[in-house]
Amino acid sequence: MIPIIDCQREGRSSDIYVGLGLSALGPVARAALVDANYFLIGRMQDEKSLRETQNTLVLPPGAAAILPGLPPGDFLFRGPRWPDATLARIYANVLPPLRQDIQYDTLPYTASRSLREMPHVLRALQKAKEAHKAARLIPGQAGHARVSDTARRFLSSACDMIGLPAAYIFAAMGNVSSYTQAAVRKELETEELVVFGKLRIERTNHLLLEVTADGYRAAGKPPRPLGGKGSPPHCVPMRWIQEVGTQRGYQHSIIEFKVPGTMQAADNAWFNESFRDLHLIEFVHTCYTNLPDKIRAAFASKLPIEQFSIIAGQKSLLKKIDLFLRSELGMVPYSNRISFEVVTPYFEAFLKGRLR
Amino acid sequence: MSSALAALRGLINTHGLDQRDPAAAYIKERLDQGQMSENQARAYWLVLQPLATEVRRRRNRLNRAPELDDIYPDGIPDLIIGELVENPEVPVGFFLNDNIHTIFAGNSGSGKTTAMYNLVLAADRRNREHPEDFTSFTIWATKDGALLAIADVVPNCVLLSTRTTLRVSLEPPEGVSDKIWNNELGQLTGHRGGLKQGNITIHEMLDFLSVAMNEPPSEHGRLYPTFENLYELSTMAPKGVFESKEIYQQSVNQVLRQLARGTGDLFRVARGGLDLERDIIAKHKHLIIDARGLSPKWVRALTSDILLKRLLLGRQLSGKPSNGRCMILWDEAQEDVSRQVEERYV
Repeated sequence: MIPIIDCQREGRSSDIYVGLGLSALGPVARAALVDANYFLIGRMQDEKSLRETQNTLVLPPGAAAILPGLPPGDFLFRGPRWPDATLARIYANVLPPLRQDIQYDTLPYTASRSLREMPHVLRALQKAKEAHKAARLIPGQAGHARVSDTARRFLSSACDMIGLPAAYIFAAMGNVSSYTQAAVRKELETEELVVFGKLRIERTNHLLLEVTADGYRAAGKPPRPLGGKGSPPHCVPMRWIQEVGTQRGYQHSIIEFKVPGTMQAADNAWFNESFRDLHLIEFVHTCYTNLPDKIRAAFASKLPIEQFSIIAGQKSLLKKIDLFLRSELGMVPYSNRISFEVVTPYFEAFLKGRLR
Repeated sequence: MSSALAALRGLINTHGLDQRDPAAAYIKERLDQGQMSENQARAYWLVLQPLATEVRRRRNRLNRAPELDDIYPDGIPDLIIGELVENPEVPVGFFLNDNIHTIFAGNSGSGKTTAMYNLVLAADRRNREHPEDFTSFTIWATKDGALLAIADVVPNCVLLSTRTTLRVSLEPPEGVSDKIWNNELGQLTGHRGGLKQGNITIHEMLDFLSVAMNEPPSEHGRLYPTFENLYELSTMAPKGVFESKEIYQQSVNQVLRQLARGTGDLFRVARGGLDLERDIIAKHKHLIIDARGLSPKWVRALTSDILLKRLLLGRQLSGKPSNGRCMILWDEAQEDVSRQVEERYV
């Protein structure tokens, strides 16, 4: 309730009384009129105010019509001691003229400071931020839980099923409608708990994902980063390729293999002791303009490169890359040492290993 | 006397035009002094005829005026401000034992301000005669500041200006817990600022800051956040920390920004400033607040809401005996208590 009206209601018990000066009665809250005990209604002309006066003061029919003709100082007066409104004239005490040099008083106070000048408040805010992030996923804290139960289950599964596309995680969760899947993705993306990205493998789009550090913290699980650089459509396939290398019996299967003596790194490298059977692999999601530098650096190094593979999601992209490399100066000597492959067999081998 | 002069006098007297219109009063004065020719009388008759027609059209249909014994069988009112038109021996005024909540309504120039002035004068007279039964006045002068002149007439008036000397802190009244006060303050700010759900956000921010600012306790006493602090917090905190839904943050931000920027130094107070109970009523003083120029209107209304709510809640919850009667007079209050605002408070 508006505090002024609150005071009217609680006036007797709290000894606070209110006098309201109003230039019209029409737009005024009815509660303000209901709880008033004394009325002094002067000249008014608008129809709404006349009607409101007629009703509020319970005037005889047509009596409110006197209001527009009232001279200054004449009022319709009604108090609690007489049931009818009567014409009253207030004393013509004239207010003294307003001085221009008004001297205002002051009261003691402590001035406020900016929050930035209060390090203890900033520390408390930092704590609140962290607590907020953690609380968003704690079940039972409904007031703070910003993520639904389904999203929480998905996040928990995603922490365990690293490298699997979202569709496989939803399938493992049971019957989740496409609408719910979209909602879960939006929730987790908004909360920055999971990063999603689409990769087209041949004719199918796969939604790949990576759980962020906040996501692992929120799920209460130890972080297991994918290891590669870039967005999920780039670093998740690198993870597949790494696992396939292990499956194929290489002693070392490394993500982001730094080529010795250069500033370049290959996305994946498989090799045995002393770089025997060294197989360097580059996975291309969309961008391939940096490939010539990487190829030059790799072959210019003293490494015994057995094979250099370029892998992409679609054959059409591989064709584009081939044409691009042929057009690049200095690539001709290496062209017969580079092989092109689609990622499908790697993906299938990875799935086979995971879902076995 | 010629017929024109007699007709003009009759017209004025019959309808009491000299009481209603200053021009008619002037004409009557000239008639009485015999300074009017017949031609002038005819011209004035034509001028006053529409006014007389209006008076005839709007004749008094009120019930009969009471006699003195009818209306005041137990004695005359404590605060007398005028008399009945139809029965001038009957005074018009207020009994302090009644709930003296009063509506002064009327267009500009109808005499509202004079009526309030009469009430203050009557209360001042009564305070001098009965100092043990003191009535303190707080006046919000908004429109033209005419009521500010009361400070020259009535003793013990504290005069503050929202532009320069008035300082209002958001701290709770004595004896009221932070939780209760923060909830009230959140609601007041939300409702006056037109927020539908943001009041809870403001409440939570106040809860957070009122604790964080006093951890460890300040050597200058307990500090309380200001609207500027709330605005800072709302810009620093990530979305969703204080809001139940993130979309509320933007509207809360806007309201707090307007409050922080629009009120100047008015609320830049961590402690102290004006407290009606402590600084005015308990000291048997009166307060006049010059609120001219404080805008937008909802900010002005919020300022008065905070002062009033603090007074009311303090009296209701502190458990201490009242310091005395207090009457608060608002000039031009129709927007502060409009139906539109009331609907937001429901």
